[in-house]
Amino acid sequence: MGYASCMTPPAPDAAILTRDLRKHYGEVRAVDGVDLEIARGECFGLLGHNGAGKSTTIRMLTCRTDPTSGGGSVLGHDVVSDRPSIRPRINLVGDRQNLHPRLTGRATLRFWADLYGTDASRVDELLLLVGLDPDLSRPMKDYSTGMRQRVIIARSLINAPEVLFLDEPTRGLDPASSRTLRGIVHDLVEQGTTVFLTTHDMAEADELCDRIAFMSEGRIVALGTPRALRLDHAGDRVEADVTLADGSEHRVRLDRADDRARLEAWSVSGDLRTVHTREPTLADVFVAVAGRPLDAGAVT
Amino acid sequence: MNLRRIRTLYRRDLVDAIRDGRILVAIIIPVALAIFYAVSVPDPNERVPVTLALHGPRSSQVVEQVRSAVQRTVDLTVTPVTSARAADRAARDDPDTIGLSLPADVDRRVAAGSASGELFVPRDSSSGADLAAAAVAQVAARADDRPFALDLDTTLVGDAPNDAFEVLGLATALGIFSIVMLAGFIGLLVIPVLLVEEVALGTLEALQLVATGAEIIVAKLAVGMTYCAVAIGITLAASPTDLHSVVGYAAAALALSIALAGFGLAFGLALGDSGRINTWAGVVLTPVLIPVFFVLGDDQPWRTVGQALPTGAAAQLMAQSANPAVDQPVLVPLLVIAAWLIAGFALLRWLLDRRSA
Repeated sequence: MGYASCMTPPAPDAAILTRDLRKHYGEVRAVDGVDLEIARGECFGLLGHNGAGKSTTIRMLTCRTDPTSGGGSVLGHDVVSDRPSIRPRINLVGDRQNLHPRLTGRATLRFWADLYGTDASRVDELLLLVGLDPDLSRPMKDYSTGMRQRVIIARSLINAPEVLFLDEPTRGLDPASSRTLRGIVHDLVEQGTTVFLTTHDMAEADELCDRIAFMSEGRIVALGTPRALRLDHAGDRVEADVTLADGSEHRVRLDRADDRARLEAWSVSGDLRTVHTREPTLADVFVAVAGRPLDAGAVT
Repeated sequence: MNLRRIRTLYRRDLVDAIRDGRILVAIIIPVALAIFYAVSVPDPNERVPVTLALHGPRSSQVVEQVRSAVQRTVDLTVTPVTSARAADRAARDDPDTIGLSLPADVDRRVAAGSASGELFVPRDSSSGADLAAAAVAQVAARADDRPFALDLDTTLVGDAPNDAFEVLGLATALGIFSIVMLAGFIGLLVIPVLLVEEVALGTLEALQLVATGAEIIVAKLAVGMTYCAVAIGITLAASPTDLHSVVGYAAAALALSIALAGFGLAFGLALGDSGRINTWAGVVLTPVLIPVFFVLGDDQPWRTVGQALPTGAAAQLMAQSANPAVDQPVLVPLLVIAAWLIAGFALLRWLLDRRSA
């Protein structure tokens, strides 16, 4: 079946839409039939192991590689046949620090502003936004990892994108830089920018994303709001960390009858000192749907 | 294609890439070689400059006969001086100058058989000055009507040289070789390195978000052409090469550079690493440069082989632009370069399509 014939008309408010999106490299099915519909102004997270197909999905949605079959649209434009309409309105923070090493931070942003044909007066404003001194005259090769990532984030905002793709943007960053990035993303979403985020950091996804999809072996295996995912896939797995009068610590699962009985006995005997309940995390959900933890690596 | 984006990409690459030592060296070496050849290799066809400091009439049969006698070997400049003493002084001061003092009515006196004059030859005279002095003595002897014991008539015999080296002179031929080397370095090393560096840094992916692949490649080709044009300009300005058509000469080199760039970019994408391009470009350049010697030499089978290759074809065009007397064809080399250009970019397109898929 041809690519175009796979498409259905996009929802009017959809920023990103895919239908049976596939990308195969020979026998390897990097993306294997992904259906997504992401609304404008939504922060959407795509989580999965290395090699799950997240970056390939982003490559197709950012018009850098053709789907093998199926199709997608961004801001209502086809990702294969209407790339010139998409490119000026999106931007990307990739999974590597791809900067020209001999340019300064300001020269880098001037260059990209000229490429996009946008107002160069935004350069200093964006450098300040990401916490960099606009007068810094050092070439990029002398910047720290965190500083380079801040420049990349500023670069991704140079054309005021309507859809921003963030491919593991905080990987390798120090906590301060990660916090800065999360603050910027939060503000962008509040201002109506659609954010498509891939990350290994479940807490980051939980904090930022309106909805999350878990991807495994090229397929979406779960999709919903963080709360709905927890309820649907790990809702009955509530745990409690218990401290007794003798100082011993125990973890009990409240979905198990024998653990509930132990907890009740400690309570009746007066041995119970503290109880801290622990709700299921997205990591638990991921294990539940993908069958292994996120940090367990790629399927080979 | 968007010209603003191409211009932006071009400007950045033009300033940024020259800071890369590999690219700088690839441009400097051929330029330095070309200048070295032009300055240090003697041209066998070059006439030796000699000044004749003349006291006496500027126009006389004696002076015209001297000029005629030395015209194949000496570039004679006649400089009038006001006295025999001034002619003497001019010769003392410069080994390339001889002095000659003749009476104002020298032609009438020669006809009457009573002419006399003074010839001043520096003791440290150059070979050109010696030749000119001998010619003056010979003309004077004829004027005195004293026949030589052996009077020789010179006749040029045999075919005109078919060897472009001989017609152009070694310095010009080696200059063509150096400029072909420059175009080869630009096409096979500089432009591919510009692109592969973007791949290695990951900046190509970022650029592809805003610019098309064609715009990125056109910008890099334009940078390569600019480096090539500037380097040719520096070479010609710094070397005393006398070219019949500078525009044709430079255009042939630029056309070669573009023709090779398609293969260079394909070669670069296949190797995928600028360090490996740097290593292998030297190996690839050797067979690419040898056809220059084939087409400028007179061995017909090898010349035919060289003419079918882009560097040989460009060398033919450059030789023709340097000196039309070499009588090299123009249309066939143009078609050969065009064919290689199309083949190179077709190969590149095929590779890019495969990568995209």
